[in-house]
Amino acid sequence: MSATGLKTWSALSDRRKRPTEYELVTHGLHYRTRNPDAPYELDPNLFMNLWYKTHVNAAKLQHDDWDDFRDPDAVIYRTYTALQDTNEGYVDTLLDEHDRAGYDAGLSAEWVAALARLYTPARYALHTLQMSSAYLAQMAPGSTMTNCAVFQEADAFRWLCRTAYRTCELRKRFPQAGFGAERAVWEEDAAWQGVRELMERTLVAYDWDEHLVALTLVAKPAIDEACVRQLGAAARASGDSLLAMLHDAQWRDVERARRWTSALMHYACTRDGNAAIIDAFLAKWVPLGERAIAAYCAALPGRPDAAATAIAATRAFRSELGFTH
Amino acid sequence: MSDFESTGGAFAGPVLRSGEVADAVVEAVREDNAEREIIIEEHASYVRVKVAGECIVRRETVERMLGRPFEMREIEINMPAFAGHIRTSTDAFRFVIGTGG
Repeated sequence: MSATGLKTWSALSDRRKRPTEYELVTHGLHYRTRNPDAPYELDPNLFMNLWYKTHVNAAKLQHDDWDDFRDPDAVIYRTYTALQDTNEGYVDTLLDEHDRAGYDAGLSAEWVAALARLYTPARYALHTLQMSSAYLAQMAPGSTMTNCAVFQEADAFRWLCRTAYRTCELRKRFPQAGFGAERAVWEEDAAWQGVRELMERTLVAYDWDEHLVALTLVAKPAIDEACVRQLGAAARASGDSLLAMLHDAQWRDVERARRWTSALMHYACTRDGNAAIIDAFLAKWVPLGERAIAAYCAALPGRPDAAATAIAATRAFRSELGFTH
Repeated sequence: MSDFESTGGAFAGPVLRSGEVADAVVEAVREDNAEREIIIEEHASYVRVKVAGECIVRRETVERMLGRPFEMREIEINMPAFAGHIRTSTDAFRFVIGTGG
């Protein structure tokens, strides 16, 4: 060690600038990238080692330094909890105010039926997004990527909980309207079968690169555009301003997810050949995503343009990143 | 039915957690959007700022109201939702009525 000693952790000392709090607590944390033959230590033939070698180390998408990716929002646990404390406080107040005002009594029977079919079953879709984000967090070969996926997982859980809360409120107010039967709707109603197929296939896309593309560029944008934005617009048009406002709040999380996804895709594509690899995955997954949007949006009351609008939005997101599908 | 809907979605602006930042932003919005109709809804833990057509929040004005340096990201972490489409820069946030949604 020199006379002056190290100014920071050695892993960050060659970067010629003082590391930020974000870098200190996010960068280079994965021990699983140290030994390519035994990512999880011990016997190289242990199940988890073989899994990681097959689905990450041998993946098509490669980069010389995944750890150099940075979340543009630089979210860390401290800032995430502070941010979502504010956001959850807002949602608490929205729900309390509407409950005290007897809000649900003013909803039309037609819209209540639409909520039982198109809104409350979304907790299953949100849970699939949560599980898929967790898989990405577990597999990603860089800890700055893992952090983004972990907070996306938390976002999904956040809205899953709020959806469950509203389901309970609606079931108490409308005991005969079918609330509480969400699993059957999720598994059998035509509106959800595209989303269910999309997410079940995403969850078994074990190669981390394909999972990343399927989740962040197809599945999540499809669900966000159809089940959040278009449902929110239908809610607003049907007089359900509470759901519209909840979805406006949810959209803040969607925007943050798109910022890190965009930054990661730009970063991945700095290596020659990666854009073509991602595009090849997209060619396979985009039709599934668009089928999911079409089936769901076809059931939205009074929104004949919903599917076209949602599909166009997902295409615009990918096109702005330079992808062709 | 929300005002947003009853007015055909003609208002744009942030929803802010009640507190020092919200108070300063509300005062800044009144000054920088004086020519427009402004509705401020005070709730238990948040304030809904609604400006007809377009709402601009300028860093300089918020700084003057607060009497201290201010970065726009302080709005980000105090803004659980907003109406309209947002255009951000380091010196101002602009909320505009769009065709989305």
